[in-house]
Amino acid sequence: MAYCPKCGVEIENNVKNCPLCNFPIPDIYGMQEDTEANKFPEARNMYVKTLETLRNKIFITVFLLSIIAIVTLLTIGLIRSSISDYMTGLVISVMAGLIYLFIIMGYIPHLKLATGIFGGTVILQSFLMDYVDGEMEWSLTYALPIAISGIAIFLLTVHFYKKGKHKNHFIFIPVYTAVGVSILSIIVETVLSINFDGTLKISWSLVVFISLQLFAVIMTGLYNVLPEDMREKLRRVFHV
Amino acid sequence: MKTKTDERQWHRLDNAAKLYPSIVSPRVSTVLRLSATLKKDVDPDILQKTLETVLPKFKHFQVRLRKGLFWYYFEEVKTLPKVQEETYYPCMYLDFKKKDILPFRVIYYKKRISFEVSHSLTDGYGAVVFMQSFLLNYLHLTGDIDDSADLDMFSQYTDTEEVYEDAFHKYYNEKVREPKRPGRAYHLPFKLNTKGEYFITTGIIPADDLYDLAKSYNTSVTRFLLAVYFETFLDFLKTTGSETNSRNLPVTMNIPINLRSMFPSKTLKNFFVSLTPSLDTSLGDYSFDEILKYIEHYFGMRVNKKYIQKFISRNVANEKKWKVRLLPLPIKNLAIPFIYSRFGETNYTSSLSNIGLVKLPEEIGRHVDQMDVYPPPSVGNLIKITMLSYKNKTCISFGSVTPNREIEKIFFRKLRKMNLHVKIETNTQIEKNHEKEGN
Repeated sequence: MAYCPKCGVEIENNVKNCPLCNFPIPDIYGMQEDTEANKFPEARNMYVKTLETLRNKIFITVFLLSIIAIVTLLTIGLIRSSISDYMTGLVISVMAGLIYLFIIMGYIPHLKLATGIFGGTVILQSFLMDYVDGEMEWSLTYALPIAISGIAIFLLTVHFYKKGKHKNHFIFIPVYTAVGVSILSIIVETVLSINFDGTLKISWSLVVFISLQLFAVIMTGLYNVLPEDMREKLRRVFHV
Repeated sequence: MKTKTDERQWHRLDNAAKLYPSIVSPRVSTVLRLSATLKKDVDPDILQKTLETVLPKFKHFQVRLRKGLFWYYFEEVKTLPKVQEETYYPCMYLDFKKKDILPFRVIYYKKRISFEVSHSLTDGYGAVVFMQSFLLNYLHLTGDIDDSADLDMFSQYTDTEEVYEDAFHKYYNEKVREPKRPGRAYHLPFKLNTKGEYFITTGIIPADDLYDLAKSYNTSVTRFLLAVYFETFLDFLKTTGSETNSRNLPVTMNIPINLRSMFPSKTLKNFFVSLTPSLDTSLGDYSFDEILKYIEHYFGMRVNKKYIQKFISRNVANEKKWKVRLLPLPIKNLAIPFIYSRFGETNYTSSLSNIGLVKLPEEIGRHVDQMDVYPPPSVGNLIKITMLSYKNKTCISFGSVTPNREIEKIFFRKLRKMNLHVKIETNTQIEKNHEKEGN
């Protein structure tokens, strides 16, 4: 019989630390590696398994529906002996949509790789859709700078969020998102104004920028002045 | 009561059960577990045969949940589920809204047989009745009980329509006024664990010693342990200061009371009400004797046939309202989780449920070493206690959805200081990040 000297309770001979206070229990009986004595199995997490099954079901269903949609579009094109630009755009979008879904559903576990592939797909899709009519009109001037900026800001936001020493990461997700979106809005308007007018004009994005920055500051301030029990409640409500 | 249709029989969910299917989620499974540990390893093939023998007798359990326009209902089926080897955490999510998934499961691990059942189908009492009959048939099939044993000794629960009765309705008196509802209670400031994990910490205490100790305080075992549990929370609040309870919310416990002894019924549906003793933390410190005195007065005033009528009245009155009955089920499904949280778990700090002394017939009892009961996991109350006594063992099980073990530690250390021997069994180790070594 093994006992925890701190709690005074008897514990199973194969337990290495007290289940109540984590105090290390010396292996006097040499039985701590004896898994046969375990009262419970090495439990698996049912939720993770259920979630994976559901994810696979959703992806396979969408994948099959997409293939059917592409084949239908191509068949219609062949019957009419011509595939219109509209149809080509649709096929490109469906194929790109599948890649986005694959990434969003977490099949690529590495964030940087997943973001890279996502960004690459966005750029490739915009090039292909722009080139459907045989001319490159907007993909290089609009889509490319906005997509690259978006990906860079996303990666930087995630980087700073992870680096932050906050104990309650998820509470600050809206704060970091607001800061990221506010910067992106400035970039988007810059790209638009340079391409449209040839000059740099900032108007609506400044309003967005100031509003979101204010939101971030107020959220952070409010959270920090709240009493601990209210903060815990927020953490519980917004936990992800 | 059960009603016959052309093909299959169906029965209504009882008053308490009506809430449960609407609040079921991966974290709030509403599934409780009753286990029996035998003296030798479980034989899975015989266990399966036992289930196939016993289940058709307990028609009440061989059902699937179906959606009506206004309420869920149970429909009898012929499905015979497979027994499963234990691989997941206890009391896990049971998706019994799906076709062919019954609202219970039978699992085994080494010497232990566990019956996990949704609270929408039965309460602890019903689970004990099913387990008794199950063990009797299992031990008969293994040859541990000879042929002379009466295999129909639980026929009072199998050959009667009374098991289907909604006893809440039977004893409802519309003239009785409802009791006052408790207000918001203090909640533990612990973080939640990962979805799908459920931690059990069971303290096994010699039942005789516990009984003698409770008797020395002139109280019952449940009331004595409730006092220890209250004191545990008050001690925890002292160590954390006012930081986690700046609003001085009371510590309130939810204590389910089995009503079958007061209001005779053979129902296998839920038949309990919840009492909510509460200590006002703004009044300063309480000694153990003060807590015990309060509990004695609280239960003394309420645990009697007259006063309990008020709780039955509260439960049934809402269900009887036409505006509630006529709300379509999808709308009820949206509203009930909020109602359950606002009028239910928000108003309790934790709960303590004592199944009491489980007595098995001698021929079964000699093959069963230990029995345990685990509470359903819940996000509203991170930690709950269920307990039962069998032979000379009282098994007090904490079910927890937080990695923090502070409450369990304070509680069992208190019992040790009172010179009770405590043996701990658990399905988990503390995460090193959450607990400093040996505090």
